[in-house]
Amino acid sequence: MSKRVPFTSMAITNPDELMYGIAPKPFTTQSGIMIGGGEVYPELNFTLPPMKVNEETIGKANQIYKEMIEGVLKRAADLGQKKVVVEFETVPDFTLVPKFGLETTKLLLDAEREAEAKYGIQCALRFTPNDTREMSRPPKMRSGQYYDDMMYFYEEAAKLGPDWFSIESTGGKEIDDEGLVNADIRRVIFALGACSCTDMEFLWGKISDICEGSKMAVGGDSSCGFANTAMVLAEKRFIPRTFAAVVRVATVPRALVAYEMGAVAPSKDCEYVGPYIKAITGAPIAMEGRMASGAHLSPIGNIALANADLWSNESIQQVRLLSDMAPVVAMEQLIFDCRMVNTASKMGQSKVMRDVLIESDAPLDVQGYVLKPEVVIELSKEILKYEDDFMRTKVAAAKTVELLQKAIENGEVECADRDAAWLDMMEDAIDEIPDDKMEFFEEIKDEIEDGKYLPSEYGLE
Amino acid sequence: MEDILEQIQKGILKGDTKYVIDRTELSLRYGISIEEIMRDALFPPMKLMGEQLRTQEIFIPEVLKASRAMHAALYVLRPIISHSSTSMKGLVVIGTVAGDLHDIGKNMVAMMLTGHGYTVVDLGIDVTKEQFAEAVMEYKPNILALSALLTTTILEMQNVIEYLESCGLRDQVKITVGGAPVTMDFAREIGADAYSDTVFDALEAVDDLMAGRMGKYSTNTIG
Repeated sequence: MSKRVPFTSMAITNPDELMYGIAPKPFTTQSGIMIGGGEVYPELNFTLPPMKVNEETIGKANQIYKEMIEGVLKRAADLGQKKVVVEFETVPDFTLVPKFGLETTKLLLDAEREAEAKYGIQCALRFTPNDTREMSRPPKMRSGQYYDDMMYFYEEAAKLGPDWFSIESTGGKEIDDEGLVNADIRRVIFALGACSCTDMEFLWGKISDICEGSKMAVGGDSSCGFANTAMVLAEKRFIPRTFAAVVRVATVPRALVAYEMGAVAPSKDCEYVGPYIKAITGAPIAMEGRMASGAHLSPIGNIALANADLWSNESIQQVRLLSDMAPVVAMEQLIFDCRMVNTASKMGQSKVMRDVLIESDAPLDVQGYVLKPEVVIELSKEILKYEDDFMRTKVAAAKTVELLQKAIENGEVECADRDAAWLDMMEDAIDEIPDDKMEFFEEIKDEIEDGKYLPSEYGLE
Repeated sequence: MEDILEQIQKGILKGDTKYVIDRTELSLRYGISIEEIMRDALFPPMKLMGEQLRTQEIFIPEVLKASRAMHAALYVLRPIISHSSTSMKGLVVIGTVAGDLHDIGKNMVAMMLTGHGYTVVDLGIDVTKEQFAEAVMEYKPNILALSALLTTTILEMQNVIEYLESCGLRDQVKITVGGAPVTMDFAREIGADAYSDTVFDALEAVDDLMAGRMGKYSTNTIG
């Protein structure tokens, strides 16, 4: 049974050492791609066009996956890209009906091996199934049909041999959703610090156990349903950008749990707190930014690349564009970005390149500002002062508020008055949160609607 | 002295639930009709906030806070509403289709609709075609709003519409659809009556459907 080993010190303490392509603890894939060993590599993710997935259509779905992977690997080879990662991020049907997902996983692995033989390239596959536990409401996190099927899928997929495992787990999301649309930082801290982290420890313990003894390594989780939802809502101007920035950093302790439970492989692309993970754990990270616009908009398209070891497009549907199918287009775009930053490194200009990426975004948006290396290091140190998940989460939010208030006051980052005003409101709200998780649970439990979640699933009762 | 209806309006804009309840109860004691309270006190601030949200002057959490205050006032009025001829603008049943767990967008549409005077029955997420049909039979809504966010679940919208047809319920309700992968072409293809891309458009689409208008969100299938 996997045991949690908390990080108490930083792998990187000098902001200048937080650099794209380089991680203190590189990860090597089965095919020999060393990620974080000096270069940035493309990580391509694709998905099905609008269609149902069932017994009748699974053949067609697999044909589309075959076309997608063959198309993107051929384009990589044509452009001379020798090292490529593909992510198989399943649609829920693949996890709900494991035989569908397993069939497709095998198909993708076979296609990678064929491409390696045919083109002389090196490929790797990240396996990202769904967390279907939330399909029961309130979610049952540790038992039930959804949980059993999900675990069976993970176990069987591990035997097929993808390179590493990631997931966008959903523990606490049922509480967090309301917190986001109401910009209620108390509720978000409860969801992340008291529920999500607890579930992460449970789930990633199970995942580590599954991966042990298989060829599949343990990768990172993603706070997509938490912080990226906040970012997208903020992009639509539904919630303050300052709120989205604070939520972003408040997800760091949650992300860290996967690594404390044994993750060593690159973090997930949509886990935008990747730089914090790299700074604390030394593990390589995947990031997405401007090349992910086909999936969602963001204000941090360049700075996301500044510390990336894998550069991702998030996801793209198999639809035809003027030039080619969209995944092929995405692969080409990723390769050109990787070429550019890797060439800068070869020319001894990596620091300049990195700083251009940072400074072209960070002063314009608070969500970019919190990804600046010096900010990442400062806030990571604050988080590591505690081993308790709840305190880490509370402190992450509190210190981010404090730091953004100063940055805005000093003119280091642009922020509309109406967004900035929420920092003061968040500060007041966080100040009133007790340091003890159970004390906070007693305080907040009556505010959360009956039937929304099962406290016992998070060890709260 | 400030008009009591204006006080309710201000209370709603501030999201001050207790104050709004107090003023609403007082206005009833003053003999102000519920029609007047709803028309002149409850709906105007929500309409204003909807416009302010669209022009990016305020955020959703502020609208939600106001909406809660308005609903508190409606709660005060509810026993009287049920004994009078006054009704809300219309009844909307909303839900995310089977296999899809996304609810934030759907919740915001529901919130905008309730804030603008509609009664909304939210069936939640992962709602089957049978559950939608049961809701149409039970609540007899004017509008059925379907949401989906996944490329693999939007076709479930078609299943819902076909199922309603097979049950003989399709003609009893107007259907509007929305969600990131949904397009106007798709909405037309599956036989929906309207499609909208944003929370604000969803409100306009429902208004048009209620009025029987061929608005810009209509799929031109309304008769």
